[in-house]
Amino acid sequence: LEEYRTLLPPARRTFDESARVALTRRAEAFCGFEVLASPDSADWTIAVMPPEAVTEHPLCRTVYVHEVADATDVCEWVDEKVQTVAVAPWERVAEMRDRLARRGVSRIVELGMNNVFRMGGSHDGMQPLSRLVRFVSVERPAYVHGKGMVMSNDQTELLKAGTLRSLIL
Amino acid sequence: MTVDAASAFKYEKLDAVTPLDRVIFGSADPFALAQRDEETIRLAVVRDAVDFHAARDPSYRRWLTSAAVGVDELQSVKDLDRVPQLPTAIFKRRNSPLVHSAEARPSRSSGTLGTVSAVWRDHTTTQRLLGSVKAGLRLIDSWYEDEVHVVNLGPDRQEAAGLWFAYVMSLLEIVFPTTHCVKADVFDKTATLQKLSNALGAAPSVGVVGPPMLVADLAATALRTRWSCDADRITVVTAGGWKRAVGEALARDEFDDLVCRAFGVSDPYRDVRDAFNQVELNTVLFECRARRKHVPPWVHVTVRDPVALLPVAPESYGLLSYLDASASSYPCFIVGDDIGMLRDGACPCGRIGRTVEILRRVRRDESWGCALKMDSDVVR
Repeated sequence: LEEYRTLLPPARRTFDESARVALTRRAEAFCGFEVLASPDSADWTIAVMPPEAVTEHPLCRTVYVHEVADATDVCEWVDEKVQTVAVAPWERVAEMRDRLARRGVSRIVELGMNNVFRMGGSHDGMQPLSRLVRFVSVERPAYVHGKGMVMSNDQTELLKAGTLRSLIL
Repeated sequence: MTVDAASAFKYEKLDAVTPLDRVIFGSADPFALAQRDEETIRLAVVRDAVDFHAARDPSYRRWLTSAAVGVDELQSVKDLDRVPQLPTAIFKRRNSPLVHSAEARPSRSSGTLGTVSAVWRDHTTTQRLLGSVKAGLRLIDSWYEDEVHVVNLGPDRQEAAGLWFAYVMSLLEIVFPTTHCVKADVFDKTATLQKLSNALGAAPSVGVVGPPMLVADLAATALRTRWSCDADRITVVTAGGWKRAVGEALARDEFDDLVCRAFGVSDPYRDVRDAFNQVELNTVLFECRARRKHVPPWVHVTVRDPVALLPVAPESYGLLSYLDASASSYPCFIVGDDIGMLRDGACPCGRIGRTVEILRRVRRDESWGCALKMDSDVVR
């Protein structure tokens, strides 16, 4: 996060954003949780604390770290409200991807890829580009014997041969 | 063994009236102190409160230690700015490390911003809260108990018990004869106007107390139904702000005009006032005639910048933080969501002292999307 202050500088914090971050940092510290933060700014914050202790997320590059005994225990804390799960090391994704999918997540990515979307990937459980498009198909002509077809696609010939029902059924 | 009762009483040292209680409940007007005396009292009672809570609550003692602040180092009112405060978010936590006694009961906020706060108050803390109300009323007038009948646009104490703001309003019944106007969550404006007429028949003056939205609703109904009363017998005290009705909030002069026309008030600066409290703060701050909210001597206010939470320059806006010595069941040393300014010195009302201006709450919805924004602006 410190490196990203220069690589991808955060937007200038408003009074309200800064206040939310400062108050959050102080609340976590009072509760005895470990807080790491950018000095003299609200640029980034990391708080290590149990999941049930979080009340309101202040945004502004604030990361809550919840320690678990085993990486797959994370699945217990995931439901359909979680959009993206980032995994590291990526080799462990196979251990939990099916369970995470059943819990309702939309995306499973490598850590660091949360905000880098692959073309064609799902977003919030759907493929939103498809909702912005009216699909028009220009289909192959009758003489093309399509992949997987066992007979011609020519309706006239099929009717003459009395085999149209076989094509449909 | 026989006990000599007389000598037992003779040698028992009673601590029934502390210096703090003398300031809150004493006959002297706490808002009329000379500046030097006020600062001496403030330093003494706040320092005692810090010492008290450090001894009582291990979590606050750790907090004080981590801030490297010792009670002995608090030698001037300026030193009080260094006393570490609790963000009010602590009171929203179910697993807050704060310690409370078995006697204490939770006071709950309305959860305007989504999460309900719970602040544990014991009898002493609640009594001092009421003391702050009685003391603050001196800024409005010097009524005797039988000179005023209060019409509370809220529920009685029993119904209000769980909700802080309604509870604070209902406390007025301990001081003045009071009629409550919300029953089972229903505010019947026509019935309330009748109660107002009855109150005017029962006492020389009537205080109408409630959130501005309900006062405005009642005033509009009074005008629409041509309800009338003698001039200048009603004083209106609002509290609680517009909250979720912020989309319908009237400008102060519009509100004054509405209330004056409806209730026969000729001088809104004298008879239309506002008061401020939040569930985490144990003192109610009342407006003077110049409409400035005066801070009593048992509360130290510091305005802080939003990044490092350090004190800002005098008369600058920032986050308001309070060291309120009146709470015994929890360390009422808080920094919260209110943005405002502190003024120190001569007030146009003629008093010398500190006043706070509360500008607005810290916005929590600006980054979360339209739904909450629409809710705060439109939905009631």
